[in-house]
Amino acid sequence: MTVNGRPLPGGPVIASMDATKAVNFHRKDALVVSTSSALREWSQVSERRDLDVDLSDCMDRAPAVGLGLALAQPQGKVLVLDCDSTLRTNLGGLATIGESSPENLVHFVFDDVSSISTSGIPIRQVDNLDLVQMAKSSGYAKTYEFDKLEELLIGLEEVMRQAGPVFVRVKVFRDGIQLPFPERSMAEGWAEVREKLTPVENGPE
Amino acid sequence: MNWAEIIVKALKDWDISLIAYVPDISIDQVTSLIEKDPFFRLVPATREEESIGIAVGSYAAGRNAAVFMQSSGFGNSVNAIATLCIPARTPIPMFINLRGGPGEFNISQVAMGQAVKPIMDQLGLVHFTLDDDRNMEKILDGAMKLCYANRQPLGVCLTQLLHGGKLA
Repeated sequence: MTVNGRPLPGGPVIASMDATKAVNFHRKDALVVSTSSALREWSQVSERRDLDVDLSDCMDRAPAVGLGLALAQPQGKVLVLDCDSTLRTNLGGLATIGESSPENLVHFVFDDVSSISTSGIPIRQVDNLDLVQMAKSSGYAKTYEFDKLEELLIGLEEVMRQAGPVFVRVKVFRDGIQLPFPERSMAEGWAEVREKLTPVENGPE
Repeated sequence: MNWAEIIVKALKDWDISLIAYVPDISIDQVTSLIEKDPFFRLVPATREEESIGIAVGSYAAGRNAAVFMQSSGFGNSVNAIATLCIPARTPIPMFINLRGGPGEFNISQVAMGQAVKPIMDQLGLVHFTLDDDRNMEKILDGAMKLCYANRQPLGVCLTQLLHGGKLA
């Protein structure tokens, strides 16, 4: 299999859109913060855009924003849809989440073997980074790895029941076609989420 | 009340209960008070830009948040402020221990400390500087009101003249 003329590494792997749909299937009323290529796909699939916090920029901050959401809404679930390329630029975020230990946070990392989020350019030695081991040693309560769609669909039931913070690495590939970012601005989207969660706001005096 | 207690009171008055910070002795006089107070959730981060991310996430979910950092950490957080806070129109009070002024002993702190306010000016952010605790309660109350009315981050610079400075 090739993407943009480059051969993909061997072994089982999940089409990223299928993985995204699987997360959506198990999402229920969780808050979801997504970034980079994960955001492009999630915005096409999500059925609860009123509970989606989009990071159209500042893409390496998704775990931090997810932690803020989780601490502010401890009674609800918060899902972070992150990418391997963005997490690589913010590895300290794993330690911050581990230290704060939010039980309601699930941190998905779409590990993209096709490197589409970096425009098809592979990151040298990125495979040497063991993100799952890093999450474990940072204090995540539970970690999972999936590279087959059937196992992801079944396994997500347990993931969503698990007390967190939970780290989930999903090995994915993308077909080389970049979907657009959502049309709504970050300000519009974030205001919608805040309004949904805190409907009574004082107006200007 | 001393200056640190006045800050804690302002945070409570404006229902700002989540505080993100990178642990540092320079802001310890305030954060140690916050840590002892069950009203607050104090969240340690590994980097100041992460504190910004945590604060904006908290605000999006309905819980007001502030960040504490040193001026060197403000330098780390500029991109997060510009690409996250500002476009998402998120009111985050940023309490910045301003190094590089009178009493500074460390040459490495001067350039960044002096650059903090010009950078905020370039970003279009309102900021206040506190050199002493005269009128501090009124200034902070007004600053918080402005921050939330404007729905943008706002800087409160705490100088070494106010808090006595970091020990050499």
